[in-house]
Amino acid sequence: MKKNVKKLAALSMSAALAAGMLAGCGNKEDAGQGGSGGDTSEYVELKMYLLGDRTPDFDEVYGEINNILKEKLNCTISVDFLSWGEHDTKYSLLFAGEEEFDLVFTASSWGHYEQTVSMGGFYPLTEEFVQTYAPDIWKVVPEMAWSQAKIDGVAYMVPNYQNEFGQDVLAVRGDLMAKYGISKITNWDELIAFYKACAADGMYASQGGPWYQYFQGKGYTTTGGGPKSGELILYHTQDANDLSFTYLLDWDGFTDYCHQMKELADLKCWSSDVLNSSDERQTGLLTGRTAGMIWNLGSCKTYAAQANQEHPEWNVTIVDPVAALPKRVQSYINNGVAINVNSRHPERAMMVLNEFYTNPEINDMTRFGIEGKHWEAVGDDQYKVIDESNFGVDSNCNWGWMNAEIKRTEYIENRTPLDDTYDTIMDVWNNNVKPEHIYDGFNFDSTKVATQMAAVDATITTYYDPLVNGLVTDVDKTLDEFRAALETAGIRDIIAELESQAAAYVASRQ
Amino acid sequence: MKVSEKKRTNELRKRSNGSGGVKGFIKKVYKYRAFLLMLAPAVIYTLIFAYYPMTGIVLAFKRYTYAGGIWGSDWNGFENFKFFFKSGQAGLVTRNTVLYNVAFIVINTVVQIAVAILLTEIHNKHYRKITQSIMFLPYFISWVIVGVMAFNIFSSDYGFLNTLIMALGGEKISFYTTPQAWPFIIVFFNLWKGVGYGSVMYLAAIMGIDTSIYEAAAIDGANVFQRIFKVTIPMIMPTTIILFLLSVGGIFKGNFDMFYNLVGNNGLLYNYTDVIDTLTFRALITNSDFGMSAAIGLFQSVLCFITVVCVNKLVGLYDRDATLF
Amino acid sequence: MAASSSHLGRVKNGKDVAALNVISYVFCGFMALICLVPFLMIVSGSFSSETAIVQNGFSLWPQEFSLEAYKTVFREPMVVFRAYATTIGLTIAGTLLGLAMQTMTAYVLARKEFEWRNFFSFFFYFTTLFSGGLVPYYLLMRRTLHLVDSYLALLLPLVFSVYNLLIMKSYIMGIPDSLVDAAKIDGCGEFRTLVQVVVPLIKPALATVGLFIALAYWNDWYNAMLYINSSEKYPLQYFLYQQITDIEAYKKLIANGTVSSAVVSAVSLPTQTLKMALTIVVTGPIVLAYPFVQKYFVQGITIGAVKG
Repeated sequence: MKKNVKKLAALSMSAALAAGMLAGCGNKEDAGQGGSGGDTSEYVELKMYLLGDRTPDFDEVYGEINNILKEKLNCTISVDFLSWGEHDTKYSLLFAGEEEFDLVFTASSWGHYEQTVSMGGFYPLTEEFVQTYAPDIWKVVPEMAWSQAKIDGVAYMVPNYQNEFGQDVLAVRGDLMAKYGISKITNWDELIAFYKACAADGMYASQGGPWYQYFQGKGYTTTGGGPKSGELILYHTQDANDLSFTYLLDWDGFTDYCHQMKELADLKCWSSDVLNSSDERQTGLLTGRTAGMIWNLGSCKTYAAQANQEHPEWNVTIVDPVAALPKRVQSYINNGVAINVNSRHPERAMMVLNEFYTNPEINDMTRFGIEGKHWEAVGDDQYKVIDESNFGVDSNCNWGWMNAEIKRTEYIENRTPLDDTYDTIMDVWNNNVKPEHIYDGFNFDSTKVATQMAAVDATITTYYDPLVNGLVTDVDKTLDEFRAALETAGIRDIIAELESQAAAYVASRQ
Repeated sequence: MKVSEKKRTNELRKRSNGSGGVKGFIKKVYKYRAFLLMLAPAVIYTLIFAYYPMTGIVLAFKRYTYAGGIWGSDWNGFENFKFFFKSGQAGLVTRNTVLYNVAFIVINTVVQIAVAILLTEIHNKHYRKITQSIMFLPYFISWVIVGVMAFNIFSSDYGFLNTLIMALGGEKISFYTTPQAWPFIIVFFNLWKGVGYGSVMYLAAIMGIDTSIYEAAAIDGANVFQRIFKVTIPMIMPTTIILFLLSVGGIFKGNFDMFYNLVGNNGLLYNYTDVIDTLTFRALITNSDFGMSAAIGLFQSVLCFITVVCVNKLVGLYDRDATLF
Repeated sequence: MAASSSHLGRVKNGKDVAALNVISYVFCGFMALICLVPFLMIVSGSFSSETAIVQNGFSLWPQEFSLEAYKTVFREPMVVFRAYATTIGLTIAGTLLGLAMQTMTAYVLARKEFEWRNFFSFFFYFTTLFSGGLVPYYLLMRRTLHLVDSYLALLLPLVFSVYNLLIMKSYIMGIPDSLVDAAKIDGCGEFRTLVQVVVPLIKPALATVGLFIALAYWNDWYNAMLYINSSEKYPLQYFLYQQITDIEAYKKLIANGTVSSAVVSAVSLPTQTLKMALTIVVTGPIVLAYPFVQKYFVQGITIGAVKG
């Protein structure tokens, strides 16, 4: 039960986040009204696969949605779920077993997107196809999103459209900050000072080394589709003119970082067991074992609020350890929907997706459930939850058709200082969005170097995680071993392939 | 004495049936009709459920696509095997896999037999039944939960073992940064989880021993230890050998669940704990390529096959009837 | 017929017997203790409150006694009971069928006058070494045999195990040839010899192999995951499996820095106490059934007394 409350709060955060981004551009009347250009004379039943678990009221909600679809597009849709534990195995079997279905949730990397494309499982979505059968989607989804979704020039998913920031923050105990005489944590040095103060006090600071904060602070970001979720090869996202890639082991910064982490780990800034802990990410903060928790803004707020509720004296607040940095919007292909290559009705499937994506009535239903039963509207762009136990908010794998233009935010009745801090951070971020770098829309296709990618993935954990968390005995020696291991695994082939693809991508965009 | 007797009768029978050719074959089919009929269900089952899908081995040499399927996909030679050797850890993980399995086979066999024999020596019926039942319990605990319990025991912050060491005035041991400790931990958990299950097989073998043999031994004046080593152990040898051969058949395969749940993503421990299956898992975690997993599976199978054929031959020199095939 | 409490009887009451007694009691007691303690921790964990477990780890006695985890397991009691029924039904049917098939096959492979027994042994054993992997098997089940969402998809994959077959074979080979030959001379056919002469002699083996088959069915979740779609056909273990594998999904998601926060929030980890409670619920019945199998391990066989 408690879990659901947390969940809800986290979701409302992300909703609020998106709304903040879009203050002033939500023009609802535009969306969802265009007629699609397909033939709907024949009644069809479509099937869709989503990830996660079916909530108790799911079928009721989708029954309502089917009523609308039946009337508007002469079709209905049935939904099957692949649960969290089984989708890794079953996702590919759906395609291998030539199962009959039409739509399926997908996401870059963890949601099998690149892999399924390389094995030919998805229906290619040409511009013409999208414009014909999903004109409203075409109007809404930004070009950057399509560009990210393209593999070898063709998009195979409709990416979701919400402007989440790809920036983690620190939820931190206010009482401890006061105790250590630390008034703000806005940059790397202040963050490290805080870590050391915690260790001096016999307190763990967080659940491992703040690696993302380090390279993001230096202006770098991960490369889409690159090895180890893109962390192994970075590019300078804050400088639009810098078209080079930075391979970690050729970068002094990584060496510097590893040495710093060794020092912090030896001081006991975090547990030496971090690599094995089966705790959830928030456990340390909530149980008082750690002074802080690094995570995305939404989750930080949720758990900060929960911690404050249980321990008001902790006064947990949120700080941005890379405050000066212009913020990058998260990749759009983190969530999306694709059409099965064997679908017998790809056109109708696309038309249905158009409705899910841009029809506010359906979109709201997939997010919150039935109005009056699960939720109620507050004005045109906010919502209030009535009963979230049997459907939840954004809990039903509706992430593939998140549409910032029609996305409602949560109406908060009793505001806390944490809400204010959160809003302040959001305001600052919204006014400090990073200019576009051409690689922000680039996604590496690793098919040609699959062998090297697998070898790198097999090797990397041995060295990378211990280094990033400062747990090795001899940093330089481990770095040398790491470098040698990656050379054997063929990292140079990957870099060469990535650079040539990136060059081709740049050329195609000019 | 018994063994050589068996051999002789065997050879005698073979010679008497020695006619060859198609005609001889048909004759034999007729002669063995009852046997063949009894084998039929299992043979048909095995053909359908094991040999037919075995054709999927070709995937090891193909770049699998959904459109092409198993047969239509393009051949790509030995490409799918390359990642394993390119990882630079092929030698290490293969060595680890074999060493762990050797340790498991030896230690598990010895302890399981010991437990089985000692259980039969317990005269108190209730004590025997209860201890035997309890030893079965770990079998039911999934490795995920074993992993969590191991963390509760070995964690340096609030682990049971370190709390104990501290209470006794010792220095904390950081198990999760000490790879050398892990072979012992893993062997222990493996033993612990399988002791009840494994000893049942030996128990059943001991129960199958004709009690008159013991009586004869007692009359000969053997003490209990002599009885165990001269009667019980030789009598359960065929079962022991079969179980041993079955384990050898998996000597290049690692128990993924166990290693993954105990060690997880802790690279610091990999030198001592990484096995073929965990390495493959990591390699394919982002791109689970059917071809590559088929390739590693085939690699393991071939090595196991070679090993087991050799070991089976050696066993055959000792006792022809104890072999697998 | 020897019917002493231990089948070995009291051969001679000397010092050696006393020594062995001490060793047996101590060693078995020690092993049992090592096996019991973790299980007790799971039992006590399942009755503890989640916060206490997260704060203090496991203990032998419930901390902040709570039935919350069991309430969650039995949130929809009918679903759990149906799963019990499915699993029990499958286990019984599968064990009987499997035992019959394996005993019959093992008997043939154990008969020394059957010249082709090595060929067939190899034919079976080979399949334990090489397998075609998941895809072709999945295609066989779904597209060739059409075993989608059917109990047969849970029954068939486990009904025949080569390991059990070979174990059974080794037990049957322990029976003196003379007994079987005598039966043949008396005019028994192969089936009758098997049922009337061999089966009574291998009761411990039947109990063992039967137990292993039963355990395989009892613990199976994999086939349910692959082939069963409708929730009313889920076997018991599938619940446990679904809960504990969520953890992997969660770890993978939070390790990936770019996953959107809505997704992360939607994957909630099962609580530790829930995992414990599920373990107990799933394990309980088969543990309680174990003593019934045990009676076959209590007493040895006197072959001389059994005549075909």
